[in-house]
Amino acid sequence: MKKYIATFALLSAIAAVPALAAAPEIVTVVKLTGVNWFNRMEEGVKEFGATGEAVTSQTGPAQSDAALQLKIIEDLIARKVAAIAVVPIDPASLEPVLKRAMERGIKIVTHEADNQTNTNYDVEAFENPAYGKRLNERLAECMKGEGKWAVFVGSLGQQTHNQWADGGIENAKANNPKMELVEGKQESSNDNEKAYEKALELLKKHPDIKGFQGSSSLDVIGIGRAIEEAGLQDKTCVYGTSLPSAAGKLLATGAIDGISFWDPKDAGIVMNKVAKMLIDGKEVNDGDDLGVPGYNKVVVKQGPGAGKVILGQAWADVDKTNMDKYPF
Amino acid sequence: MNPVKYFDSFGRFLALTIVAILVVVGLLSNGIFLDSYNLQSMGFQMPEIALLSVAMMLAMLSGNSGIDLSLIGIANLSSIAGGLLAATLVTDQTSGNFAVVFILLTSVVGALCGLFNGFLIAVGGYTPILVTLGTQLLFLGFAVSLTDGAAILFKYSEAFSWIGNSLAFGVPVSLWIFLFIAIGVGAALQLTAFGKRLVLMGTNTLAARCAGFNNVAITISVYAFGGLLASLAGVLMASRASSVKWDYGNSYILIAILTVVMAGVSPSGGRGRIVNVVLASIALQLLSSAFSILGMSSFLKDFTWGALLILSVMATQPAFLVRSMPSSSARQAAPTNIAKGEAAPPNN
Repeated sequence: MKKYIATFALLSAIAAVPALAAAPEIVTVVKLTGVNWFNRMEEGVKEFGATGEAVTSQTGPAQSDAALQLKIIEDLIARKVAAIAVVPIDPASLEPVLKRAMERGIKIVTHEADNQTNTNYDVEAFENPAYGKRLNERLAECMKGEGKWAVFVGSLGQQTHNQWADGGIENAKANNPKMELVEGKQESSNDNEKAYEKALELLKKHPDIKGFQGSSSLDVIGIGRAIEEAGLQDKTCVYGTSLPSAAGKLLATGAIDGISFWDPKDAGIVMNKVAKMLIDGKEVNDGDDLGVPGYNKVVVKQGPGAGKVILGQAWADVDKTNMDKYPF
Repeated sequence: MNPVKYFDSFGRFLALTIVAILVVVGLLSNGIFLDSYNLQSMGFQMPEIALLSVAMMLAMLSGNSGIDLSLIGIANLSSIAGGLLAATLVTDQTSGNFAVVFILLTSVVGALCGLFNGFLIAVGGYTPILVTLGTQLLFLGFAVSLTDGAAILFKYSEAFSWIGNSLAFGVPVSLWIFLFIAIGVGAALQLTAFGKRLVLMGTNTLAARCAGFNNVAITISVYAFGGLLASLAGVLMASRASSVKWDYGNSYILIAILTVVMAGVSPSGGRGRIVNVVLASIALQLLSSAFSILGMSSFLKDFTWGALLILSVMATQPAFLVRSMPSSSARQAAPTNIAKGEAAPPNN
């Protein structure tokens, strides 16, 4: 028994050490841990933590489940961290819990959720419909403005994905009437395996399909694999959100023609920086420079609730000619 | 009654685990883990999966390799269908009437889904794992088509929010609901003829039939009641997220199975205690929150759950230790077994 008591005493002594640090604690909650995208975001979270302005860390569910994300945030509220930066799986499901967090004095910064009511600031890398339109313009150029195409989203509930898809669909309708959207939005569940299966189904059903627009960072990976297996690299155009490290191989073979993204690392830094400003009682104003590329002159708009939306101009268009410039 | 003897080996292991987690994490977190806010926060989080676990336990108790993989499908479909129907019947979503109608309709849909499962299993004679795997997809698919895959938001309603987000006597309302149900189910299993028949049927389906039990009626009731419990979990999720969506809690089924297995419910039927399911639910919730409170990775959480399950197997089944650890007596026993011809290779 003495041994146990000694162990407990030791453990508690170890635990007491970090509590001495005075910097406020900011926790970033992502949609899913252990994927490239959010690993890159974690680099940004750590980089901001290294400045010593705040103690930062990143967490998130091991499976993409809105109910699990909600529970993690509930635990963080109980832990009474100074601020929570969250990338919601489904903004609607987090409204009550974020409201509770704010009532407990915790500052909230969201990302990819410009429809979130209960937030202090929502950080967006860019205006979503414009980004979807931009992806579709590149797709249309590759398809020479005609032929069948399909659009993928992570899930039908994911706000940004659907805004991108809708931006793309509108662009095709308005500017390229000969482009024919087949089927509805394809759900990949943010899973490249599912995207692969859906792409195979589409290829079977529409052998003459020419274009694919992906939304989740894994959509084009799955689609590209299906295209490569079918040997259709030269006959199809695949554009979507992804990272060079994940899509590089398929970009090189031409199975994926182009990707766009915003650097999740920069988004991670900006979210934490804004959270720190909130803790210090500062505001972000229209035209402010947040000191991160793409966020040098942000647009600040009123959000759906009391909070505001911060918009950057932080997107990058990448194909096989310039992918080496982005080593992540 | 001797409180130690009241718990079986699973119960004792789980109770010890709970105390160990409370002490260790309580110390590591400087007491934050044990403050009332966190205890209540965990109390809010637990009932959803715990309700599913009770339903899972009943399905397993009924024997015939009983299992219900469709529970989360039922939870989401019933809350979506109930919510949509309630919204057409009651225009004022902030009224108490809306909450009551929502809950009633959701329960009805849940029970109907469960009834459908039970009918296929008991009357159709199909294997539960196949039936419920199929109906899981069926229910989820139906839920997606009702909503186009998007979340449906409800207007904030004091009454509806109360179920999932309020305290009564310092304890979350949802936890009270779960505890009443757990006690009710426990009492029904031990004290009523139906409960005893259910356990006996689970132990030996054929003997139960020969003894004149109405196996069909018992099986259908069990799955229908499971559907009802799942729909209650759906109501709690809807209340906590103030919205419904087809894929909320898609990771819950495996956690519910983990809970009942850790509680010592036999997957082959006839054995399982509700008190252990309650303890296992508490233990898993404590562990889950501990990781967030201490700021550790979710992957580590999965790892620890797995480790706890293996520990529980080792702690509750001493035979496992004897067979796998080469103690001197076990080594001596081995040649005897081979001499008896058990599993001896021909060239020995």
